[in-house]
Amino acid sequence: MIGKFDAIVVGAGPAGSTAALILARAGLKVILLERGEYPGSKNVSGAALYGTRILHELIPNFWEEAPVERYLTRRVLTFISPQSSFSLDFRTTNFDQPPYNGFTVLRPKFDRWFASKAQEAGALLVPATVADDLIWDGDMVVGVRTRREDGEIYGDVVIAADGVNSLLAKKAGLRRDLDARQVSIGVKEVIALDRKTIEERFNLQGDAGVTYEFAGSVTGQVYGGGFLYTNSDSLSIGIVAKLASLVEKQVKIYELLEEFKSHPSIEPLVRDGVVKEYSAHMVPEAGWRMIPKLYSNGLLVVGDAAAFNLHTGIFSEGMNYAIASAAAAAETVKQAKAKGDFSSRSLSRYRRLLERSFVLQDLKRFKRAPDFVNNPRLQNVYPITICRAAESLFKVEGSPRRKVAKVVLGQLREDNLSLWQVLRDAIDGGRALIW
Amino acid sequence: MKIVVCVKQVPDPNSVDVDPVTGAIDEERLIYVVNPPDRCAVEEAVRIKEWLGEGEVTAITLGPPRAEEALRQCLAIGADRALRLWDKDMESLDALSIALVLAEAIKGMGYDLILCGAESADWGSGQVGAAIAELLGLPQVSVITELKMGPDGRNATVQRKLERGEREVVECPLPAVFTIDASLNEPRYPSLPCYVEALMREIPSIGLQDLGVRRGSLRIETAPKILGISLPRPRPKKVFTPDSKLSAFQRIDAILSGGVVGRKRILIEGSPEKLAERIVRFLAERGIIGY
Repeated sequence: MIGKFDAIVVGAGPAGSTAALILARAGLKVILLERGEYPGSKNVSGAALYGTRILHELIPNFWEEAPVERYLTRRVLTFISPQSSFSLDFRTTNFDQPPYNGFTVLRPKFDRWFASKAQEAGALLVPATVADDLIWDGDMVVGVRTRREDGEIYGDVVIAADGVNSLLAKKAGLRRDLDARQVSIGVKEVIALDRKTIEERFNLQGDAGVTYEFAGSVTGQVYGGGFLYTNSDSLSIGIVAKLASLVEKQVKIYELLEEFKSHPSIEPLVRDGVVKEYSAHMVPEAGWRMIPKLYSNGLLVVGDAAAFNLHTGIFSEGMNYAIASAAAAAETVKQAKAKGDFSSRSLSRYRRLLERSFVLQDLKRFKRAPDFVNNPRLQNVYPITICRAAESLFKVEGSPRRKVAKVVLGQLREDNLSLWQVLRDAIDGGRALIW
Repeated sequence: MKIVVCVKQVPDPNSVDVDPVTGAIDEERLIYVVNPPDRCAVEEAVRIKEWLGEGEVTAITLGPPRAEEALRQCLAIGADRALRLWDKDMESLDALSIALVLAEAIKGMGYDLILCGAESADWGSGQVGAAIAELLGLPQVSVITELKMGPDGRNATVQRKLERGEREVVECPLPAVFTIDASLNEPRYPSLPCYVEALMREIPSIGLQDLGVRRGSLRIETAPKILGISLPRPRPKKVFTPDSKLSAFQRIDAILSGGVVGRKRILIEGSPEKLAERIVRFLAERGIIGY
């Protein structure tokens, strides 16, 4: 048997590495378990890393040493119909200064680097080891059981950073089985293209980058969307689709990705690229309502395991919530260690810290967003209506022009949408996102 | 019994991505692992130690700091000690110079048995084990698929892998060098305590000077250089046409066999000197080498 640890962190993604880093720096004896051969080998993400302030606080000027791809100065939201697309394109030079607003990263590299920082701080990283059960002493969690022989590890506290399908949170009775309506499936390809081509195609300079998000007929009748991010010398392109909707419509998600890549607005962007990676993963998307109980005696749940993921249509973020929640968990553990009390009463401070931080505030504030995003008209009707309306507005064919309102109303009628319905959806959207 | 196992860290073949046009390897994507037959060699050494109930297994590698990871895998399987040899002069050594450095280190630590993987997954020259045996003046049995220790640990019976599925059983006195085929065993999935202990160990690293090897004795400048890497292109396939002089029956027979003719084999036996002489004569007679 191996000796006892102060803290056992399960999962070396951004959440796990943050917790391990902070606790190791505080002088605690920390073990960081990772299921994959190395951190970042098993998880999947877009990946755009926003909210860099908190990482900057942990590792000042982290972008100078971390394997980040491009800093983000441009963000595009595109509605697409089968033949056309309509984009809202935001770019600013305010985001090209340190501490940048966001970066694209490749998780196999980034997570590996991040875990190495926790290692440098003194945490013991144990890769290729799956922890899938808890060890109890009465109603207190006192360790984890790994799949290796003699695989028990004991510690004062366990931090479950084991991802969306957290086995530990489930074993502790903090969450139920995942519901197909609460999760999406994301598939992603990393497509290699040389730097110069990327800079030309996406109108970028130097290390600046862009993220595209797509809504509309990307996913056919299935609920979901697409994304395309620029890395240094590759593109990350993918589809995220509601699991329940995929099942209902009997659609295979990789077919959606192929269709997406061959869309007339996308194909020129990825042309001649070579697919280097293909990956798929579940995404917790139900926001506020999906959050499990966050702690029990001797156990804290952080990151995706706690469903800290915000998907509102205009934001699609997870890593910043993972890092912030793990930082709160680590602070809680530091205090608990000082008091020598790891009971759920003592660990309840974790929830209070999260309520004060942006993590629970954002998720609560945008709690209506998942329903709004799953509105069938928003998913599959409006984006196409917008594209068609734009088409008739810009079409020049020698007949008298109509004013915008006429065009839009005509298009709504053509698509069998009542003005009343549209207004109601707009109010829903407003309540979800705007006020 | 002191067993020394030579291991090498190699890129996992699944992670090697060769650009079809330029032949360049994408180094960023490489994932390093212990050369698979070397892992089996460590496993076998640990099994021998367990079977004898005594002994010491040392894993030794020549490689950069990242190769420490490979040694940790060996410690996790059950090696008692690990040693890394590294120096900036060791960066581009050929197989014979690598063997020279390894042999020097092994000489210093004492041995009853030396195990190596039969060949590495990256360059695959298969020379290092043989060269170590030569440098230390030891018998060598190559590409073994079975190993049985004699009861007193003074000899071993091993099975060698020959061409075309054949096997040869050899009895060999120890100390000796055995090179291991990956089919010898299935390395264990280390227990958590062994693995964690291996991850926490300090691994010593020593250079040429510590070994007392002169830089001049290594073939640094004359080592073979890589001029380029390219994917193999398929060779144009010869269309088989049976000899028209043959009888109809023989022609049908030839067509059915697809023109494949059984390979001729000659098995020669004798002292190493005699065997080498026969091989050279054989090659000279066919004009493959001048003699």
